[in-house]
Amino acid sequence: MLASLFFSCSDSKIDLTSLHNKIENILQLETAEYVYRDLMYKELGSSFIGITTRDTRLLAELKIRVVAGVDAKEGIQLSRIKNEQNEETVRVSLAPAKILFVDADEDSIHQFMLKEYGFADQGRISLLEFTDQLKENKEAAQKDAVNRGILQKAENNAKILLKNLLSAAGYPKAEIVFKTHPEQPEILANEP
Amino acid sequence: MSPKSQDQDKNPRPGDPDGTSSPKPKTRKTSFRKMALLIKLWPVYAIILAVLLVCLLFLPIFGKPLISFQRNWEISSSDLSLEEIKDLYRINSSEYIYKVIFPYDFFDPGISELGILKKVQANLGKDPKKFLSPEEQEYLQTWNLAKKYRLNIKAPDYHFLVATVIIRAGFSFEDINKITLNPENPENKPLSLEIPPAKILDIRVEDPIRNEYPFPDVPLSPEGWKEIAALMKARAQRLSLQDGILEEAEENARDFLSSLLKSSGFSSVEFKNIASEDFTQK
Repeated sequence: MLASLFFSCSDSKIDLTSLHNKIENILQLETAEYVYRDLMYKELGSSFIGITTRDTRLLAELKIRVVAGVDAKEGIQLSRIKNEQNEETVRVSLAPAKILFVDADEDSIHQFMLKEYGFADQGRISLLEFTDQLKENKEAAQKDAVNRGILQKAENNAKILLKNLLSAAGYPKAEIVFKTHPEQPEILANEP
Repeated sequence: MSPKSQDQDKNPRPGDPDGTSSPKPKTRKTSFRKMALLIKLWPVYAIILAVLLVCLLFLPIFGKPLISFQRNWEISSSDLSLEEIKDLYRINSSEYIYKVIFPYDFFDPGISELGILKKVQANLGKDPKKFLSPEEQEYLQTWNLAKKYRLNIKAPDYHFLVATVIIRAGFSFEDINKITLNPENPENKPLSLEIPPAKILDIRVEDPIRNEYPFPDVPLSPEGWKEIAALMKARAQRLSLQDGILEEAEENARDFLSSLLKSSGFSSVEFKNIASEDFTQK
């Protein structure tokens, strides 16, 4: 058995399909997306006694997507109420909008220039050196999107989506409220 | 005659034919002595030189050593600009996550490189799709990608990538006007809901982050990462469809909408896919 293990290791043939296959049931309303153009420049170099041992330069661009919406799994409540005009309607209470994900779109990568100088593989840019830069840019894009009101836009569009759904179901004046907003308190019990 | 001159006459110095006296050449002896003294003091000089070198090379003076043999630098800059704002009306109701390994996930163990090469040689100039199976095409594409971007997938380097691919499926409600009420029995308020078919809404590859990526780094340009990520996405999408992501998405969405609408007073909710048969939930 040990011999077979040894020989299989030295044979170097790896037979793997997906290492990790996870299924998750989610329920998210994706209602707003901001797309950024990221132009990045990276230079990495080293020298020894004045002699350049590495000179790597990269200029590339790609798109970063910031998507916001409402996660229905965080709580959605629906109750029948009477509005100010004493009309029967429904009120839907949702969790506030949040950033669902920030993604660097690999399909949009455009590499303008790449210079790789160095001994053997030392001059080549590595994947993690590139994604290090991406991580910072994604954080900046998310911050900018929030400052520009992506969450408010996501909530407005979620309202439109649900209102249209409920309007066609016979409740054209349905109310959509988001939890933890001080001016719209959470509904604790269904009204008759 | 002076006594000196008398002595000089009796004992004339060599090279002194007329016996007159001249000063002895003491300069050479003195310089030798000085040199010997300097040589004896070599440990002192060595210590002084070593101290100077340590001060220059290792001790931080005003922030960094005055002289350094090794120098490293890194310049990173980026420019972010908002390009587009999109309004979305989507319900994501299923998410599948896959770990894909390049290149080993794409090398079917039942296929040999030699077999593929023989087929290619026998069909030079022809479209590989016509004489290679899908697995063989994937094998060849992977091999060519690894060669193109100088990823040594054999000994001794064994370059490989592990990436997480996330696939989301659900419904896009850009056109949500297709909702109708049952006109025959309005008092019981059954609701007929026509929904679009589930589809894959998003496929994305998580970028590996240095502190969280547990595998060796790989020399790979952004262009290479783009092509390899596309291959990984295609594979994950194929797997997710085989695993039933669309059916799962439809079921989850029906459950969600059904419970949402029932709690507002509807006794039953009927779902009708635009391109498929009716489903009724009570």
